[in-house]
Amino acid sequence: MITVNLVEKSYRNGDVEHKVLKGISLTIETGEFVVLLGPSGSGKSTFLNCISGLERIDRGSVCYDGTDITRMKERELTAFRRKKTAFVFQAYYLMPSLTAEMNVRMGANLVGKKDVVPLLEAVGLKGKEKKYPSQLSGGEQQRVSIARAIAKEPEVLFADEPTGALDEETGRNMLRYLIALQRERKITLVMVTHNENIACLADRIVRMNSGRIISDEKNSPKTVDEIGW
Amino acid sequence: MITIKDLRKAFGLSFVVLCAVYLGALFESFRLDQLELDPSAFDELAKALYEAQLAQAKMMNIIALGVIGAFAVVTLVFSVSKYVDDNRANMGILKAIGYTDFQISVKFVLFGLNALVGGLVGYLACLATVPAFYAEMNEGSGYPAVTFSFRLSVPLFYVVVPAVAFSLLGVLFAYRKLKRSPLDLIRGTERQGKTKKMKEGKTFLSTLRKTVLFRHGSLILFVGFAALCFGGTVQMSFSMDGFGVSPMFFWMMFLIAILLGVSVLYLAFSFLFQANKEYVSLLKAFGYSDAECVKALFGGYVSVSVIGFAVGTVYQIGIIYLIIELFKDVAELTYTFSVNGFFIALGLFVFTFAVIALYFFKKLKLLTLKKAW
Ligand SMILES: Nc1ncnc2c1ncn2[C@@H]1O[C@H](COP(=O)(O)OP(=O)(O)OP(=O)(O)O)[C@@H](O)[C@H]1O
Ligand SMILES: [Mg+2]
Repeated sequence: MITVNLVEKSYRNGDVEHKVLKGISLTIETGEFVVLLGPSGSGKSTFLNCISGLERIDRGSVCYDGTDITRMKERELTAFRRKKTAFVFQAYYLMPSLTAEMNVRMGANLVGKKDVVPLLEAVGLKGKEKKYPSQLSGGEQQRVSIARAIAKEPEVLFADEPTGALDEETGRNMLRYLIALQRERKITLVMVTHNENIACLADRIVRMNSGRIISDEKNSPKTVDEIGW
Repeated sequence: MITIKDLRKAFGLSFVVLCAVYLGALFESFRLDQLELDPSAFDELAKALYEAQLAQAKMMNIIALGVIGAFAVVTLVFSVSKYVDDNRANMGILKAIGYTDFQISVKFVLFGLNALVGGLVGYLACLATVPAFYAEMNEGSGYPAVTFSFRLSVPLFYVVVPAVAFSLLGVLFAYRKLKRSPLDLIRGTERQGKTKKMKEGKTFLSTLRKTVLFRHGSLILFVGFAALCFGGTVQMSFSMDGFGVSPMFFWMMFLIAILLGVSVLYLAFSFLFQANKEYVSLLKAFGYSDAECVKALFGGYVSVSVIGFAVGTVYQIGIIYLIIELFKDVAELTYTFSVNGFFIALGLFVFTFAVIALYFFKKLKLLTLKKAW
């Protein structure tokens, strides 16, 4: 269970302080699939970074099963990320001088897994293992980034618009795969999206606007084939 | 586009040029002044010493111009390529909107300024140490004292020529680096092939280490040269000390070697850190420990250092035998390998390596994804 309590975060730009998160509280159950919805610039990515231990917060607390990660030292936080979380970044963040396969291995290596080809196949990148990120399309890079996160076998998966660069068909396939995996392994999945239809897949829909949560509702999840696009 | 701040970052370049110009100009001045004397009037011993000193000055020139000069060129190429890498996207955009390669690369003429500054300071340092140096060389020579006279040819050759050459080289090299499509520049497409030799079944971290190592070929040369500086020149100062040469020679060589080695190593590591910031921040986001990150980043250079240090050791032994050969008519020199010198040089090198790696390790701790990408 992740308990987020009154999290605040601001960025300084010279003298101007820009408050991005204005006291957010939220509880996420283990194995739950939560979607974060909100307009561009509302602070979704920042929130994801803060609750996943990638970025320090100014005030508040983020507890995983009772342990406050905001009080951890850098070393403990790293160990925490290694053990528990994985991230699909909005901007992919692939290592440009490593092949697709090696990029996925970056995640797999942490759990001692050697063969990552099946994972690449699962995201539809069979035969592209030896390609470099610059030789892949945006959508293909995004799928490498998804494979890399899954390769780490996380307990909690943070996905920042994981289908943002994908067409309908590929997007649906990806979501089918991700959600099946999430249900099977009881992964806690926190996903950011702009797409109202995708939001209907989740157990819970949390809406944000300018640094605040404006609604938080249970949802009876639809299947990927039931939703529009 | 290139600002003074960028040139300040290429400070290492100025420093290497400074060292080369200092040594080169000092010994060349002495050699030219010495040539003014007429050796036919000297007795046997003085004549032999005279010729040995001439040879020595020539040799120091070869070291200064050959080794350090070659290294200054590597530093230049390195600074320019670093600059192009850092500003790849901007340059790609300029190209995309219609600037020619030449219009972009002609700005690199400014890198000649680094050489000019380094050369000027080096030459001034040479002038400042001329009295002490001449006194040292004249002492007990057995022939008339060599006196310093100013020659325009020396600053012309050691200051102006390198500055012009470096300007041209900078432009040329930048021009060559820009010969890629604008899109490749903007997207930062990596040149392929370097990583192809990777064997199957290697672990991720060892692959990463190799990729980091071969991604920047000039850095291998750099770190190797720093190790060579310690292994060679620092040790050489001790070997020479065994000959009973003057302490001034010892310290001159010792300090230049240390300064050169330290600054080269610092430069190399700071570039390495800059160039791999994204990688490290990503590794950290995934939960790789700082120690693993440091290993991936700097680990590959350990073997490069060992090789550089070994080559340096052999190289200095070679130089020492050359000196013995040069002076064989004047003095009965016998060389014994300085164990102390070896361990002091090694110790200093390991210490420097560790301190610099630790410094960047500290910086690494502060890296976050958002800052790095
Ligand atoms: N490092 C930073 N420095 C200053 N301001 C920042 C920084 N990072 C984000 N911001 C600001 O914080 C706000 C929220 O950014 P964030 O990336 O969280 O939005 P988002 O909801 O993910 O938007 P999108 O849907 O477009 O991805 C934005 O107004 C942005 O300008
Ligand atoms: Mg975002």
